Formats: sequence, C-alpha cells, structure tokens
Amino acid sequence: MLKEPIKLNMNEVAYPPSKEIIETARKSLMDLNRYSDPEDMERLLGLLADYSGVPKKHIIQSPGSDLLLREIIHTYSKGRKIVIVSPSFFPTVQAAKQFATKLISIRLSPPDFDLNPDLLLDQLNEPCLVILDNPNNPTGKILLDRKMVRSIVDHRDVLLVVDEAYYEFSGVTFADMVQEHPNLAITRTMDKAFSLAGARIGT
Amino acid sequence: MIVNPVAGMGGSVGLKGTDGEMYNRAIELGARPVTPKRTRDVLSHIKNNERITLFVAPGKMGEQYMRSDDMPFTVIGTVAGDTSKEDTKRISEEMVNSGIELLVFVGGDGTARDIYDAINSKIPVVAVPGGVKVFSSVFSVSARAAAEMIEAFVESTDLIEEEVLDIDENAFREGRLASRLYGYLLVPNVKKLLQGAKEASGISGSSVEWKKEIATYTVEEMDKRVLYLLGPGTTLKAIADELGVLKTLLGIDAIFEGKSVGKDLNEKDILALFDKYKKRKIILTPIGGNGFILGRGSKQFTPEVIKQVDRENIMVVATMDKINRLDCLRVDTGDLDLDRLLSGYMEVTVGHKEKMMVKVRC
Repeated sequence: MLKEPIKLNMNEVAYPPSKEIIETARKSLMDLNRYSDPEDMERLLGLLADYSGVPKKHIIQSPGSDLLLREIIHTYSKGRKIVIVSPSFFPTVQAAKQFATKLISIRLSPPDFDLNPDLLLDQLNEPCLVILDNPNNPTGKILLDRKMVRSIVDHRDVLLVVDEAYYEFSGVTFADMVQEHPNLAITRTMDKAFSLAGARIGT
Repeated sequence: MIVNPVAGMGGSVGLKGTDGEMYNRAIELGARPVTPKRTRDVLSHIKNNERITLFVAPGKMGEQYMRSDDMPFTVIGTVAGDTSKEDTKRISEEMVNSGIELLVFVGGDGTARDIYDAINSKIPVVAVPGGVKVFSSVFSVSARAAAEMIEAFVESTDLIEEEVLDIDENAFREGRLASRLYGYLLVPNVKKLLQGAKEASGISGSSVEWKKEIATYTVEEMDKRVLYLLGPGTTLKAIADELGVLKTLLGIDAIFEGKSVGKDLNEKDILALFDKYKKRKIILTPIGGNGFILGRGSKQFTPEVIKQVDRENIMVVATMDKINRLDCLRVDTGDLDLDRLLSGYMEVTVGHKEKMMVKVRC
C-alpha cells in the first residue's frame, strides 16, 4: 500500500530541474520585486531562437504555451470554424469550446487513434483555425507529417497551429516551415523535457 | 445452430418484441421473418469450414435455411407446427447431449434466456443478433462478426462469461427500459466482436444540461420544410421537449413544422409519411455502452426506410459523456450493403454548434 499517492495526471517530469537551474533561481529570488530585465528577456529569446532554429522575430514568449494557445484561439476564432481532434490537450479543448462559434472535433478512434487526413482536409472548405497537438496528448500518436502540414497551409483561409509540447520526445517538428508559411504557428513549452512546468515558459 | 424463427418480427411493425401473443399481432400487421436472412449471413461468412461439423435444429429452426452447397449438416431433434421457447430449450439440450462443442443461436434477449435456461455454462455459445431487443452483452455486433467468432473458436480462443439480460417487454412497450441480470453464458473471448451491454442514460446534472444544449441547437437548425423522424432515447426526448411535443421514449415519432405528425411509428407508418413528405431527416442517438445507432432498439428503421433517407440526412446527437465512452458508432441493419454504405465518419452533434466526427463501423 502506498503511503502517498503518485501524481501522474498532469504528465509532469518526475525529476527536479538541474542543480544549476535551482541555484540560479535561488539567487534571483532577491530580485522578485523587480520586473524582468529586458536584456535578459532578449538573451532568452536569442537562446530560444538558436535552440529551435527559428529567427527571433518569429518567436513570442509566453507564461506557458497554454496561455498562448488560449490567446490564439480567442483572437483568431472570430469568423473561423475551429477544428480540433478528440482527445486533445484539455486547455485547448476548453478554450475552443469557450470561444468557437462553430467547433468540429475529429474523433481519434481506438485501437490506432490515427488521424484520417481526408477527413481533416474535407473540413477546410471555409475559413478555419485548426489546432493539432503533435504528438497528440494523451495518445502520443504523431498525427501530422510535412506533406499533410503543407496540404493544410496551402488553404489560404486556414490557420494551422501545431502544439509541439512533446517535441523533445518525438523529434518531429515543423518549426522550420514557419518562415515560409505565414498561416502556420508552432507552440512549444519548457514544461516537459526541461522539468520546468512551474516556471511557465512557453513560446 | 438453432434459430428462433419469430425473433425480430415485432421490430419493423413497432411491437418491440414477439413474446406471447405479440407474435400473432406482428403477423396481422404484416411482419416478415428476420432470422432466416441473419442465419444465411452467418453461414455465408464462415470461410474456413473444413474443421466444422454442423448440427442444425429441424425445419424453420435451422434446417430450412441450409443450402446444398453449405457444409454438410446433421439435423437434431424434431418440431411440429408453430415453434415455441420450449422447442428452443428442448432442442438445445439435445444438441448439448449429442456432444456439440459450440452452440450458435439466432434470436434476441428472450432467445438468450431460453438458451441459458437449457444449457447454462455447459458449452460456449455464439449469439447472433436477430431479435427486437438485443441488449445483452452476450451478442456479437453483427451476423458477420458472429461468423468471425465461430472461426476464432475453431482456431481456439479463451472463453469469457457475458451477460444475459431480462428485459421486461411490457414495460418496454410502455416506454420504460426495465432490465435485470438473468445469467451468464460462455462466449469466445473476442471483445471487438461482442457488442457490450447497454449503459443506463446519464442523469447527472451535466448530462441533463448537455441534452438541453443539444436540443436547443437541433431545434434552432430545424428546417420547416423537412419531416424529422426522432428515434428512441432520452436525448431525442429532450429535442421533443424543446419543441413542446410529447415523445414516446422508446418509439419513433415524426415532427413537421415543429409539431407531432406521428407517434410510435412502425415501418408501414413511416413509409406512408414518406409518400406525403419528400424531404426527410432521421435523428438518432447511439445506445450508451455499445454505440449502435441503427439495428438495436429501433428496428422500425428498416433497410427500406433508411434507403429512402440519404446518408447525409441521418443526424446523430449524443452527450459528451456518452460519446467519450464509445470506441465508435455501430450499425447492424440486417442489410450488409447498406451497413457498408453507412460506415465511415459521421458528424455527431455534441453541444451547441459543436460537432464531433466519429467513425461508424459495421
């Protein structure tokens, strides 16, 4: 019998952040009365640009990618149908339900939980905001490949957001396509692979 | 193999069963036998029959549906005139005593109870859905699935116990679904081919709110020039409530211009309405737990009826809690070609302006 429950429902990393991060954070506690130093923020942006291979001008920092996703949905769902998959990242589903004037969820069915590409493409006959987590949360399935991303963003009235919160585990990214396609956005987070869920750093 | 020749006959005529006197009533209303075709569907889908020795019940309980090019068979038992549940029990006992290893039966929940009374857990069964009420989890999802289960048994599978339910037919006819667990039968353990038991309708606060939300949206979207046929279930009743129309909970009702134009309709009634109304839509909700939208609990929607309503005019509504517990939606109309046509993805209304694309399997 366990003395204490093991918390698994938020899919957090079970290990603490590295010693260097803990030490740096501890030192910075004395500066909590100050706003973030713009130079530090610029330096972080540069590091994120190097890490992701995306120019700084295409990166937006956010206190967690969930807030950014919510903002995207709030801003870009006006006059657009929202298309998501089910199951999907819960905060995305919640925001979509809250802001959508028309919402289509494409069910990922067992046993394979694959996304039927034709089914998705059939939905793109009107202005759409498509939000897909790749790999999918919670199934872990890779839903998209480059060809499919191209097929979606080739629709000029369609905005595609790919949530790559688990990129470091899948190794699959479409970040390099962002410059070429203005209707494609990628979200990333430091919650998972960097053991920093509490720090709320997203892009 | 043993067939209940009268099972399912109450379905198309809206009688919700053929227990007792209802068989004669079904005949008066022009009901046609259902199980012979189901039996043929099973036999025609068994591909590897070299290792099967078939024993069938006599006359219209099995023998009559065999063809010369089927696998060789031996008839067990005798029957005279009209058949009854006593014949089902007696002949299945004789079959078990003769040393058969698997009993395949075609019928509904009532037939399953008779088989359970006769053989209990002595040997495993494959239950082919053929009745009006097919809510027990012992049944396979379709005749074709039953054939696959027979093949799986021949290839050797584990066995599991599945439920046989006792549905009160009189209560069912009055619009209530009263069931109790009657017993368990052993079946080959191929979960994907078994239909699962019906779950009770959600009565939680959120489930009631979801139904109301679905109902409001559906009514907003209704076209006054279209005849709507509302299938059974509490989600469909919520739509009728929204319109201020009384709805038979387990029957099929018709709505035109927001008003009731037919209640507890059978196949004949529906086809008569089709003569008058050229634009039609059917609104259905899946059965909780197994996902059937057609072929269980709404046999009045016969293949003949469904073919006169295009696939795109079949609307499905379901609460999120129900849909989240289903692997897929299912159809088993008794017409395999039609089932294939209905398969694929369908839009399911799950909330206000909110739809989910869900796979339909047969």
